[in-house]
Amino acid sequence: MVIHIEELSKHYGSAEVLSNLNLDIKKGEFFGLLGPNGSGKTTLISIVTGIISSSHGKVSICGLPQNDKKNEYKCQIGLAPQFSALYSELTMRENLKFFGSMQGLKGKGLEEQIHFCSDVVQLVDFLDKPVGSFSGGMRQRANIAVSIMHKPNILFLDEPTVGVDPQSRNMIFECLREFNRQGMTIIYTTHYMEEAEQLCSRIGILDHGAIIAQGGVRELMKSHQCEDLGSVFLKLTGKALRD
Amino acid sequence: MFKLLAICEKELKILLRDKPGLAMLFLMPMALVLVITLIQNNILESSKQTEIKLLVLDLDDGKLGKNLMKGVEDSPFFSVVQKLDNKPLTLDKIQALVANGDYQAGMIIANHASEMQVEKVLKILDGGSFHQKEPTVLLIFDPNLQSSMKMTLSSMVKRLIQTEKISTLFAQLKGKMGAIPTLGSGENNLWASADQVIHEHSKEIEDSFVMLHKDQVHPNAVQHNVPGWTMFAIFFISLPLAAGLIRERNDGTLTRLRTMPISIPMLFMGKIITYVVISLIQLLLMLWIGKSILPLFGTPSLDLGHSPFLIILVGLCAALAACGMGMFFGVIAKSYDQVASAGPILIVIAAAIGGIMVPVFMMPDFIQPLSNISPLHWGHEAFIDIFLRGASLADLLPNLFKMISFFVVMTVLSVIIYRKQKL
Repeated sequence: MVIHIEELSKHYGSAEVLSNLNLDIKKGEFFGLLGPNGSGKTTLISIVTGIISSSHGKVSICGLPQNDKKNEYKCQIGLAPQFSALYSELTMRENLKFFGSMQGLKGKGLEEQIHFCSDVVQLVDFLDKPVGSFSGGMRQRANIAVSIMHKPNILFLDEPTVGVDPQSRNMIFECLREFNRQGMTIIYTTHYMEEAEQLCSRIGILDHGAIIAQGGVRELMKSHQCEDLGSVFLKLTGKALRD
Repeated sequence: MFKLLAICEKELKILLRDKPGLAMLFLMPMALVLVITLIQNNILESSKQTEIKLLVLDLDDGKLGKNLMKGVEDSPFFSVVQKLDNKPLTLDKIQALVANGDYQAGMIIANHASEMQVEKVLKILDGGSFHQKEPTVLLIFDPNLQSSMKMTLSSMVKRLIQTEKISTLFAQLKGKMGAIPTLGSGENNLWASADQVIHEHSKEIEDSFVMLHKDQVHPNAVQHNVPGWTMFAIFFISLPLAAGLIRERNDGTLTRLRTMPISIPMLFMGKIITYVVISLIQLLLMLWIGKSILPLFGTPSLDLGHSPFLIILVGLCAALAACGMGMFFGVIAKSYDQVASAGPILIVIAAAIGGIMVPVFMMPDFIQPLSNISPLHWGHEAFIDIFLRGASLADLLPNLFKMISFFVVMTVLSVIIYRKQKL
């Protein structure tokens, strides 16, 4: 297992956001993490990526327990947050250089990765433009480029296609499929069910802080007697608004 | 180490590309130190060195009038004006000119003042009483004149009248008593000597400033203001630092950094190093203004004292304290707006109670103890110790220790709060 999560819980005061959650993800999987607003998706990703700590439970990545060898653990992870977490004042090159340096890259290796990653997301021509001048689609592509600078084994993407035009979305999908083909494990959260159907080899549906269903897309549709993933999702999580 | 350098490089680039932020960091304190020093220098000049034009009307034309005239003419504070447009002054004219604020003070010596003085002494010596109907000297002042100048003139005139009174007394005693046999030969010279003693005032008072070490500089507006406003500028660095932290938290870059193999103290350290360097550049700029720019406007040049190293050391400790404050603002503030609105107010309050705008000893008693909790006060005191009191490193240690302790406490608190924050 590339990701092993065992009895994971997270409390904010008396509110329980995650409740004894167990999840295993295999190497090379394209795992779709779905759930309504407030289901605990972001909290789960934040704990696994080391942004926040859990109240209880164990997480390990590539066999590395989260609380031991923290730096080695973090080197396995790439995160593309929902809102492109980049410095608007800096150019694309400067952003890649800075975040690459934070991942331990330097010298020629850093320069090569800057070129490779900007090429993958087709932003080589914009390397010396400030990120603040980028369109939404360009920012998301730059966001993904930064998250793969250190060649992580696992890539977490938090709704990477929000506010992105169809062309950039298509480009992002192609990139992600290619990364996955090359062996990268991808954890993908989205509210667009068709995206998950299109991309993911396995789906986990999270609600009220627990995984309520998991399996392949067809397997889930079959077991819940639905024609598409959206229907499965609504059947399991209900139609009540979660605002 | 290269990660730390990368953080510093990133911080510097972001700061240099923020033109309004840079203007706030450099131009605002430069403008403040220039304007305030020039204004205060002018005030000090007008109260200490510039002569006040004193309109004088001597209706006496006797010994007392002459001595009063000589007294004010010899004073470094007053320049006597007896005629305007070649026309002698009148009481009404003097009153009108002073009332209009064209002149700050006027002195009218009463008609027959010398005779009145003699008559008064004689009557008192004869055991009688003397009721003076009119004042010997009438002084009139512009309400805008500083009270210190008013007191200076009043005191001087009183002293001169008193001296003349004693002199008249001795002259009358001599006339009445003639020679004094009991004093032996040369008694006539004794009267003359007594008169000389009355009028002799040389070397009675010498004023000087006491300093921690010898051969130090003289206080002036430049020596007072440049350190004060330099501290103010250094502490303003806390605002862009805090704003940067909030921006990183809001745009998700801090979230991304938390997933990377980099520790929070190192992230903070990179920011601190960058902003400390910027603060030291600010310090050098302010010193340069004091040394080279302010003299172009007629002020004295800033005297850097005996040890530029100590100035840099105080600047470094102040910059660290300011960075600690900035980190703390950055982690506790919920939004950029909170820092932008509350931050400057807090710094201005800290500067005010810290004695940067008004010396602490001039503040109300209940506020004075508060100055001890202002980090700006510690830095300002340390700078004043160097610039005006010629302090050594040992003298500065208490304030340096306070600033370093403040930095450590603020930074540790910031790291703890930041770690617990939900991003």
